[in-house]
Amino acid sequence: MRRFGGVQVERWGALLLLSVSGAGTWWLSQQAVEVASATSVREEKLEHLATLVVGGGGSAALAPPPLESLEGLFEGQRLAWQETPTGRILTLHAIAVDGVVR
Amino acid sequence: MSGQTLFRSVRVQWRWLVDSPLLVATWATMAMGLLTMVQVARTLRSADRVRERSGQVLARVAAEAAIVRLDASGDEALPIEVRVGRVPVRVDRAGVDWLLTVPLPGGGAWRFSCPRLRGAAPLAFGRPLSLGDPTALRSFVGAPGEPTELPRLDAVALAHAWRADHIAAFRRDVGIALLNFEAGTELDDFVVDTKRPRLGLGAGVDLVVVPGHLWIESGKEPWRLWLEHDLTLVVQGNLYIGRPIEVDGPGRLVLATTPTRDAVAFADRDGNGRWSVGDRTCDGQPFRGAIEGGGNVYLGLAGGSGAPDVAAGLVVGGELHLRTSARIDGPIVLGHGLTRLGAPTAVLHPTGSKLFVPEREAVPGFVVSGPQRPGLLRPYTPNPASGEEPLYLAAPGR
Repeated sequence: MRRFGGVQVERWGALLLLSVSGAGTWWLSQQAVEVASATSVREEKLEHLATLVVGGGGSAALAPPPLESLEGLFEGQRLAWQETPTGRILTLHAIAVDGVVR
Repeated sequence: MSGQTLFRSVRVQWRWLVDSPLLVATWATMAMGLLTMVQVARTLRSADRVRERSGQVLARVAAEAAIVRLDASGDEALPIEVRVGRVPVRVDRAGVDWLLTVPLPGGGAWRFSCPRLRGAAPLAFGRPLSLGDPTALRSFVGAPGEPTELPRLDAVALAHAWRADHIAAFRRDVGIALLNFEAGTELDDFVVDTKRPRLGLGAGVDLVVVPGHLWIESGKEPWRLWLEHDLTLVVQGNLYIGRPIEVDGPGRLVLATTPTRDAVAFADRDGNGRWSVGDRTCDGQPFRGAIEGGGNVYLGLAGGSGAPDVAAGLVVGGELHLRTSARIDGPIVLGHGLTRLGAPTAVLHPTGSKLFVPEREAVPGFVVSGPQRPGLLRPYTPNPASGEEPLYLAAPGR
């Protein structure tokens, strides 16, 4: 039976530790990058939406700005344009569990 | 062996920290862990900030929809709760205004106040350039195709407005016209103190009437004005702008000129500041009244240097006289036309960066139209800072 010296065990232990910690660090880092990317996209959508909230609907004679890019911004709710006597405004509609918009 | 001898015989060497591979691996693991913790903490902080912003924007959208819905249905039964999508909005009174409260999912609430407006402001204040005279359209490239109905001044508001001769920032000056033209003027000349960043108005004062001509003297240094809220300066005469105007603070400035029965508007084609042969009245009637007329705007003076860029709106009741190219940030409303003095290539650059939302805002001093309506939402502060209030009314300058 081959005997392993103390130094060899130590080296294998160090290698194992570095491998596990390196892999874990890389995985956590990837998760953080994905979350940061999703956060950045959401922030851009929010800033675009903020410009539409007041006076961003344009004249009633023109077509309203599209809202498809803002789909899914608020969970369970959908944005839509509404014509009022004081101009075009944004409103929210609840999406029921069955997908019907109310 | 004594304690002293024991410690003296032990010498710490830095090589002990890196001698063992396992120890080195441990240090590397700790470093990687620390870096990962920093990265994750930064990501979580960013996500938290966006979550708060999302709550704010959602609350704003819901509050806007709720107040418009309420206004349409009447508000006799306040306080009430209006549901917009899945967001409940509570609407209550706050004096003559409305108070809207939108609860947050994690606790707390966003609160907005909403003023009640008597009507909509003139549409011209929502556009960079509006022309009232069809003949003036020919002097512009890319001008709006149809003439616009011009804003009208509110006579009742003007009668109760502060007057420039009661404000220290404005002084009468009988010689200012002679510094710029060959002859003086018949109406009073007021010169604004361009070194003052504030006009010393009372809290909430948003309309000032200048009972004569207003001069903003020539100079390279701009007139920097701090405005806590919107302000309209109505000049019952001519407006002479000789230096750039910059406005700091959340308020917007509107400069409006109006001809009077004793001072009519005309196109000063030779730029001598008074009625002379070759000039043309704006109303097509024979010239009458003060020789220098009224309601005109002179953008750039003969002795001035540089472009008189104006970070304000201009409502010209008479003719606009342009000496050099100028940038105007607020809405420009021309009652008649534009006359070029000096450089024949002088151009007006309306940027449209300080416009109003006519359906949801009022412009001080101008008549509103249409039904009552909610104004723009503002974040609600229960104890707003009081505006400046002078102890004594400023005496007119000598």
